[in-house]
Amino acid sequence: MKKKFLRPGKCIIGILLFLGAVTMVFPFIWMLLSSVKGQTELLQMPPTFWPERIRIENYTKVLSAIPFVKYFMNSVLTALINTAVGILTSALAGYVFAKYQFKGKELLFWIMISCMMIPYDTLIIPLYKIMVKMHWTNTYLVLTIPFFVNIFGMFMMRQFMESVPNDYIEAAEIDGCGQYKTFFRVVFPIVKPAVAALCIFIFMGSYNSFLWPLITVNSRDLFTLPIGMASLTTDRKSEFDLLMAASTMAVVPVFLVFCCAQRYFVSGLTMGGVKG
Amino acid sequence: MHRYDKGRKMRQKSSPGNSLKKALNRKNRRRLFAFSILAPLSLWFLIFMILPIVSVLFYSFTNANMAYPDWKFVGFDQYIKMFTRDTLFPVAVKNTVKSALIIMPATVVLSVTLALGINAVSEGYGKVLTFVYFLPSIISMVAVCMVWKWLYHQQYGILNAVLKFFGFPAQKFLNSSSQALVCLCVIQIWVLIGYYAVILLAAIRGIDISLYEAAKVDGAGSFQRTFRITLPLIRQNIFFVCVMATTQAFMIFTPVKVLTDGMPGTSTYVLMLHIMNRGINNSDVAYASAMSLVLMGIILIFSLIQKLVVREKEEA
Repeated sequence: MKKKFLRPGKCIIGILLFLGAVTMVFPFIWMLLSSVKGQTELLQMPPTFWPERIRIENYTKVLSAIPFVKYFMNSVLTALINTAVGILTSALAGYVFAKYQFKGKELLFWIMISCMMIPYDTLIIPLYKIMVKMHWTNTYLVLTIPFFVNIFGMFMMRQFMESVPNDYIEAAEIDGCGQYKTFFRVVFPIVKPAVAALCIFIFMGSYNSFLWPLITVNSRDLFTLPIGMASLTTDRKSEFDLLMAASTMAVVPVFLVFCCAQRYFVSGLTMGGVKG
Repeated sequence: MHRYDKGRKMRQKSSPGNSLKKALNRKNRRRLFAFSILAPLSLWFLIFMILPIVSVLFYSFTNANMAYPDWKFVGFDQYIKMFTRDTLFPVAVKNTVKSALIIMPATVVLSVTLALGINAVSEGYGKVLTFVYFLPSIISMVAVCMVWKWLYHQQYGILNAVLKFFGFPAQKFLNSSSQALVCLCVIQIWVLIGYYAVILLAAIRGIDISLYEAAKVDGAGSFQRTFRITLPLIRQNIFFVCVMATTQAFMIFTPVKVLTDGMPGTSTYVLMLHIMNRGINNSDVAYASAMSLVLMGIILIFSLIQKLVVREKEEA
């Protein structure tokens, strides 16, 4: 271990980083504080830092202004489905690409990888038209099926599957496991750490997706949380007590999960490299 | 033939009569398994990847509009329209390039500095900092935008309160046509730096520590060690961050849609917004497809240039 001394240079770095950290957290703290202030207190100049009294009613106001729970459940449920299926397809496809030999494998893989280069948002217009033609808009299908396959996840799982020793697969098959059983009982548990990170990656991608649900869904029953929140910002432009309470309600669940599984969040989100 | 096929074969030697049949079965089973996975996968891929790619190309040469059932080929008309008749397109390109020019350098410089900084402090403090700086990356961009909308508020926002406190004039922020785009970029930068810093930090931590020890013996100071060892060694990762930040900047949409919707005037009217307005609101799929292709082209060219730059440096 390298021993670290407290030198003035290091102190300055530490202080600067602290100031930076404050600018990172401050918006969230301000959101939290504003969410319990009353309408008149918010419109005070200069603003008060601590609220005069904590008004929980802002939160109940949100619940009566929008079906928050419904939007939240829509987001969470579709994200859960997308994650479960996405993990399955990524892991299975990765397994096949890593451990199976067949004609055209290289070509198929190459095509999929080159599609990864394409910024997907630029394909949204034709994709939207396809969805309209298939009459999928305004259904749950449009919020789930396009998220079912994750090319990046597939690519990543292939890397991990390659590190699974062939002897394990061999042994399982000798013991009479079928192909699926071998996969679920032997291979899948080995790559679990990678799966955890991929879970976060797919879940957050789906949970936070904005552009796609924005254009494909316009019935309020199917709104996901980001869309519901965006509609709130346009409908109740100046009611910042309401808006801040709503964003607090959106942020807190994610924050709590992040606190528990920070490691997976960091590895999961940084492996993909795209945040929208 | 696979290595683990051998085990099976050896075992089958005990019953020589069955061996061929069994081997075939196994091969077929493996084939069936691979097929059962790849078939639905390919179907998805065809519908959600190949079909959009083909149709974006196809539509861009037609006058397809979702409001009318008829369409015909119009050659390069959509592209000609884009560059000659559409007055909003140059504005959108200008704003998009402008935001890319703000976001890309700022994000890269700040995230590299941040990663170096976190690497320099003690482990425990570094962990706390990583947690804090990473926080914006997990939050939905819409929620982030709502919070920033309140911070930026012209009359009652905290930013103007702070400016007034220090005796500066209040700013219009999102309501000013000269500041709005920069304000949106600031949000995007604020979201991205911690995220990229974590990527870079992993690269820095991966550098062989003996290099630093050797440099120290040779009398290199910490500045020299940073600029001569750390930065050159994570060059690849820095360029990776460059490419990602550029792509992100060119596709900036959510903050624009949620906060300004292109206003005031057309000062924050970016390309993605133009594409969505034309393609979805005006149902002009053909024109939106042509613009999507141009945007895709710009992004791919930028990524390619950046890739070539890295390779050249590698060879030099």
